[in-house]
Amino acid sequence: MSRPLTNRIRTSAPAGLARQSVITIQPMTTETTDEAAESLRARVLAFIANPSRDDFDTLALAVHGYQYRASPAYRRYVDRLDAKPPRSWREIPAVPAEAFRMSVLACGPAARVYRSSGTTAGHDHRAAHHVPDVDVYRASALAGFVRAVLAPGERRRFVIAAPERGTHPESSLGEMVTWLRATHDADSIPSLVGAAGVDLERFAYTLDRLDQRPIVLFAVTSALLRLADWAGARERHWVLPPGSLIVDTGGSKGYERDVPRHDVLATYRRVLGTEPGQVVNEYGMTELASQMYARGDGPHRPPPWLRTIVCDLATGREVARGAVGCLRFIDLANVGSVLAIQTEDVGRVRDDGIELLGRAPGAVTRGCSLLASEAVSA
Amino acid sequence: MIRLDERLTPTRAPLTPPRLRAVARALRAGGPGLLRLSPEERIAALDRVAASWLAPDSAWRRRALAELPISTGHPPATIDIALANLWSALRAPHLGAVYERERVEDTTHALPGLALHVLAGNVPGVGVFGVFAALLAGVPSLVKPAAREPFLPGIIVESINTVAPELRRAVAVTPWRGGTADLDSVAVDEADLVLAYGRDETLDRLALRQPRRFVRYGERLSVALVGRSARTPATAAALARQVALFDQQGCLSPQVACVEETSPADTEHFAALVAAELAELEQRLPRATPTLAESATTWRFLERQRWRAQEGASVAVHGGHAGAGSVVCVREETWPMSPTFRHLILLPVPSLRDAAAPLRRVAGAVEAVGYAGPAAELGEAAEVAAAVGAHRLCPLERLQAPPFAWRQSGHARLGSIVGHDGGDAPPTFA
Repeated sequence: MSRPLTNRIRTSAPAGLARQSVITIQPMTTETTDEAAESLRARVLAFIANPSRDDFDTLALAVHGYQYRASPAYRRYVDRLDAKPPRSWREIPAVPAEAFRMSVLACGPAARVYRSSGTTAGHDHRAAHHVPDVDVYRASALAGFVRAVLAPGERRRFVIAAPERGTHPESSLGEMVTWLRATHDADSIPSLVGAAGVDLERFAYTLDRLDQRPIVLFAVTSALLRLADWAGARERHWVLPPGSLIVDTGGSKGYERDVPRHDVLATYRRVLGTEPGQVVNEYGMTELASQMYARGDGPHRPPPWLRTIVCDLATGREVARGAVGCLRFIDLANVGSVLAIQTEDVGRVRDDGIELLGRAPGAVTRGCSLLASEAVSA
Repeated sequence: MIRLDERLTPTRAPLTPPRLRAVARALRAGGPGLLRLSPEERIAALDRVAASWLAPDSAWRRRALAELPISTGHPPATIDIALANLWSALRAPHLGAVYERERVEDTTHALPGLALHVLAGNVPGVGVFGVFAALLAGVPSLVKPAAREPFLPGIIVESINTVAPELRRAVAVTPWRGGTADLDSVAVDEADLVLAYGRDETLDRLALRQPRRFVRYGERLSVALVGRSARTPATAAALARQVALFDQQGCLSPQVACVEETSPADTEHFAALVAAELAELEQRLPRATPTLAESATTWRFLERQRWRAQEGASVAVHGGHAGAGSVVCVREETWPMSPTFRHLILLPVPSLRDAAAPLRRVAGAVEAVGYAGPAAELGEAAEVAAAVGAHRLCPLERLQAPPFAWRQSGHARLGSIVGHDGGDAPPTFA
């Protein structure tokens, strides 16, 4: 029989003693952890397959309890906060995404370790997401794609300008692209992005030879912007076959400059002949097993197993609806690592989705004050 | 035709290059009139201005207290402290002492016909010392206020015009957006001397215009030294106050404190005292509302240090809850840098003299050293200040109340105006 998954039980104390106390149960044995993990993994997988079969709140609290007991680094974090036990998913302590650069946040041995690209903090400080249960990540990625892009079982010709597992074995995006290709690709055109970057000549060659069958062009945004630059210099452009979709991801990361989303869409229209409604943007991060998608210039919509809170980092509190803040994710598909993650990605709630506004910039000191980090001589 | 007084009056009309040139030339034309005043008369006139701001019923201060909280985000209490520090330093004895010390009349250099002052908006009053120094030396001044804080310079010039009418043709405020090429160009071309405050990129941009003489007051920080016997609640309160004032946005704001250690527990206790004072100051001197970028920067810093502490690094974070300031006590060779906004790095050291080693990382960027400890150990503090290239050593509680005599960024107050800066000098205790 599985033990209750609540890790900390609030009790009423007898009169004269402390008003409340928190009993911390000792970490579970490996055997019990495995049992709990298997049970929870099954519940999460069932929720991803059919969200109406379970309650997000109950499941999130159960996953939190399990992670508290099974993940030493997360337990130390929660204990440090010394907060009351969460009563709803909104109160689950969220680790800063930065923690993935400093600690192993996993509830067991990792089947895969995905690492971020290092564009934010440098190659030596990449975030590492240790994932014990790749099957949950796979289920989440495929189910999310089906909800936002292609119907279940639908196959189309994929043109891919994004990492794949073969060339980028540590990339979570590469893993996802490989699964998507296996599930939805009606062809097998090799990715136009290799270890050395995007091959623009081959990209153009591939687009030149498309027939009228609709395609899914799955690409990192920077690759498409580079293609647009390349094509612009040669006065080239294409019109994708009718019914085609562009799925892009990554924003301007890796490109020379930030490009506003409406300019990206206008670039796609000019170079690839697509309307905004044919463009789907995927938002994901190494530390998350689930993704959000946005069509055209609409907001990003998370799947039912991923919820978002917009927070004021200064206070840690949720901002008013529609106000700008930083995104906190509660992702059931992160059952084997950490459910709740506080990011520095900026956004606001719009039309029941999330409008992404980029990453919080570093503050610039004013006037003649010197930020000490700019002063160091060593 | 534009009347002279009209030219020197800030207006809401868009500033054009011809109009700016006319203002500059009108000021230059007023130079001989300024020099006809004796030094004593100039000191007396400037002293009347300072006195008018310090008067209990000062209309200037009342206006500044109403307007500056809006432009700076700092509460009136912080503005009041800034104004009190500023004007107390500009009274006749201080002006006279600097005039005497720097012997302006002995200069062999020709006095500049016009000084351009490019101000920064990080701390209310930054650059006013320079304007007063120029007027004291007999040099008319064109003042470009910071875009984010244009009010105080305007009120000050209004007070000069009212209280010291003999100086009214010698100073004018003309706001324009820095980086506007044609206006920057006219202003720099018309001036014989440019005194500029602010970020290095701002100063570099001005330097490209090749001013005839350029005095830079660039980006700097300050540090605190706390002796073993001074680790008291009073010192903790003083240190917290210096950290809290202007949210560490000034070059005199301490970002690092080296504290002489008896035992780690005692040091952590002192750090906790400072953090508690910072939390308390959130009530009396609340911080300016942070931007999202500022919130993210401080959050990132704090969460990183807390996580490192949790995972066993030799770091302890005191305070920092719900947006309050923090003290991060570090026992590692490579210490993290403060993100400013009331977050202090505390480095325990075996003795004050040992502070020079960890502070080597910021050597050359230190403006001032605030010292709390016995007078007998002042020499050790002076050695540290000299080792890091500081220009000022002062009692900790006076860190952000600099005297007029302060060699700001290493420049002699009047010498930098008249052209004999005096070169490198050891830090002065002031």
